[in-house]
Amino acid sequence: MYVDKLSLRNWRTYSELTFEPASGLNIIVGDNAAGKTNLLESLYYLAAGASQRTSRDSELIRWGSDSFQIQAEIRGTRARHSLEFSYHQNEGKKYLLDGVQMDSLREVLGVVNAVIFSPDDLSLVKGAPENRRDFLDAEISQIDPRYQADAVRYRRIVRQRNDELKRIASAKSSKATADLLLDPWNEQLVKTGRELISTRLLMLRLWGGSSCKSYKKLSRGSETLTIAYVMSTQPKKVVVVAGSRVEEADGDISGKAPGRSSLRRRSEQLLSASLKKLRDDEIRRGYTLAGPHRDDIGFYVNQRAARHFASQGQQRSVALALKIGEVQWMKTQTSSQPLLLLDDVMSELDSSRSERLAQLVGEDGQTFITCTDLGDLNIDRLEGATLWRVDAGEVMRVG
Amino acid sequence: MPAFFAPSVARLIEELCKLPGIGPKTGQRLAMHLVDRPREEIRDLADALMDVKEKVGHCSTCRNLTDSDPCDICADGSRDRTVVCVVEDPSDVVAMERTRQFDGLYHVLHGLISPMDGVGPEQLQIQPLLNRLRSDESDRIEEVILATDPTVEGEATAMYLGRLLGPLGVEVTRIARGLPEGGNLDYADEATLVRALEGRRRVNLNSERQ
Ligand SMILES: Nc1ncnc2c1ncn2[C@@H]1O[C@H](COP(=O)(O)OP(=O)(O)OP(=O)(O)O)[C@@H](O)[C@H]1O
Ligand SMILES: [Mg+2]
Ligand SMILES: [Zn+2]
Repeated sequence: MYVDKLSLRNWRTYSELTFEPASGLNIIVGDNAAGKTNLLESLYYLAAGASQRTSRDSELIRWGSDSFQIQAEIRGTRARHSLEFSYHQNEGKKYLLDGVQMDSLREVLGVVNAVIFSPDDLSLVKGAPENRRDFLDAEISQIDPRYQADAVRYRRIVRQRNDELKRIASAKSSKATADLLLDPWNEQLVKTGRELISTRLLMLRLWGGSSCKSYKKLSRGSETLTIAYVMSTQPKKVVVVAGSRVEEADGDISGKAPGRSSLRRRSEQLLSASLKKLRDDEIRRGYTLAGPHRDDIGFYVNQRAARHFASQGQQRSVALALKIGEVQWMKTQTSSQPLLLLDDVMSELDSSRSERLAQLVGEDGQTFITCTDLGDLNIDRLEGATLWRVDAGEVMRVG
Repeated sequence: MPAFFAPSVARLIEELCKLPGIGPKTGQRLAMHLVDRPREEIRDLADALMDVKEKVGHCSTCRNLTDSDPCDICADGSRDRTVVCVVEDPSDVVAMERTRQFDGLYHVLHGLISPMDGVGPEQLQIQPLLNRLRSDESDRIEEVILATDPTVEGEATAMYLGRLLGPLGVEVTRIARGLPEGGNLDYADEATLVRALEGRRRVNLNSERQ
C-alpha cells in the first residue's frame, strides 16, 4: 500500500501542503524544528487515527486555526482510496473514505498501515521490561481482538488476586480457607495467562526471524542478534524465539513451528508450578509475583544481553531491526505492505550502517526517513531514493 | 452545591443526587420537575417509596426480594424443587423467568466475590444456600446451576461455589455457552440465555480436575 499524495491543511507547522512522495525510499532532510517529525506524524495519523506523540487532537491544529485536515490518495494492492481525517475544535473528528463520511474510526483503520520508529523507541532495548511488555501487548492487540480481550481480563484477574492475597494475609486465614479463596483466581490466572504467553511466543517467533536477518545485514554480517522470551515463572532461563542460541536458553522455538497447543500446555505447567512454589511468598507480599505481567523480551548482540553490553549504535540497530521485523510481520498479517516511518534514526549510526539501513528499507514498500543532514551517506549509491528538503512549511524535491 | 435554591429544594436535590447515575445536573432537572407536579402525584410517589421499604424483604429461603415470605416462586408447588439456579442479584431472576425455560427454584447471592471491592464469600448469601442443601426436606435438591455472569468475578464466584458444594454430593453445573465474555446476564436476550442454559457444564472439583 502506497501514499501517492498527501495534502495537509493547518496541520502543526503546515498551513497548506501538497506532497507527492515516491513509492520507494523517501529521504527527508531539514533543520531542527523544520517540521520533519510533523510530516511523519501526519502519515502515522492516517493509519492510527491518532498521533504517536499526543492524545489531544487540538494540539495538532496549527496555532491560530480552529481545525486541521489530512487528505491522502492511497494505492492498495487491489484498489485506490481517498482517505480524509479532519478535526474541528468544536465539531470534533470526522473520517471520510472515498468522500463518504464514516461513523466510526474502526471503519477507516486498516486502509493505511504504518510502522513508526521514533528516537523514544530506543527504550524498547534500553528501558524497563514494562516498555517491552506494553509494546508487545499493543502490537498483538492491533490485529488480534481475542488477545486484547484476554489481556484486559488478565489484568483484572491479577488485580483481584492481589487484593485477595492481602485479605488472606490480614485475616490470617487457615491454609484450607486460603486455598479455597485463592483457587478461583489461580485457575483463571493460569487459563488466561497461558493464552497470552503462547500468543506472544508465536508472534515473536514470526516477527523475530526477519528482525534477526535485518540485524545481520545492518552490521554487514559481523554481528548476530538473538531474541528470547523471558518467563517470570523461570527467571534464570529464557526461550529463544529467533537467532542463535544463548547460554541462558532453556528451550528454543526458533526455526521450528511449535503448535499452539504444545506452547499452551508448557506455559500452563510453568504457571501452575510457580503458583504453588510462590504461594507463601505471595501471601506475605500481597502481590502476584510471576506470570505474563512480569515477563520480558531479551535481546542479545553476539550472545550478550544488549541492554547491558551493547553500544548506543548497536542498541539503535536492535530497535531498528525490531521495527523492520514488525513491517514484515504486519505484511503477512494484513497482506498489505505497511508504510515505514523512520524518524531521526541515522544520528547514532556510522556511515556503513546508515547506508545498509537505507538499502535494506529501500528493498520493498514505501519508506520515509528523516535526518538533519545526509552526513556521509552517499545518495548516489542508493538506487531509487528520492531526496526532499523541508523548510518554512514546504517540502521540496531536491534529488 | 446549589446555594441559590430555597433550602427545601436544595435538600431534595441533595437526596436525588445520592441515587446511582444521578449527577448534579440531572438532580436539578428532576427536582424542578417534581416541584411542578400536583400534590396527589407527589403523595403517590412518596407512598410508593415508603411502601417498598416497609413491605419488601428477602425471602428467607432463596434471598430474592419479596413482599411475602416465602416468595411466590418458592411457594409455587408446581415448580421443580430439585433444581436450584444460583444468580448474582434479583434482576437475574427476572431475566431467567422471562425465558420460561426454567421451572426450578432460585438462590440470589446479592453480589459476586470481588476482593478489590472488599467482597468475600462472607458478604454473600452463601450460608443460606448451604443450609438449604443440608436441610432434610422431602424434596432434596439434586442439582445446583451456577448462573453467574462470565466476567472475572462471576467465574471466580462459580469456581468457589463449585469447590464448596462439590463434597456435598449434589450435582453442580455451570451455564456457559452463548454468553459473551464480559457480558452481563441481565442484558442478554432470551435466545442467548436459553442456549446458555442448555450448554451448562459440570464444575464439581472431582469430575473436572482429574
Ligand atoms: N500546533 C502547532 N502549530 C504550529 N507549530 C507547531 C505546532 N506544534 C508544533 N509546532 C512547531 O513545530 C516545530 C517542531 O517541528 P518538528 O518536530 O517536526 O521538527 P523536526 O523537523 O522534526 O525537528 P528536529 O530535527 O529537531 O527533530 C516546533 O518548533 C514547534 O514550534
Ligand atoms: Mg524531529
Ligand atoms: Zn424464595
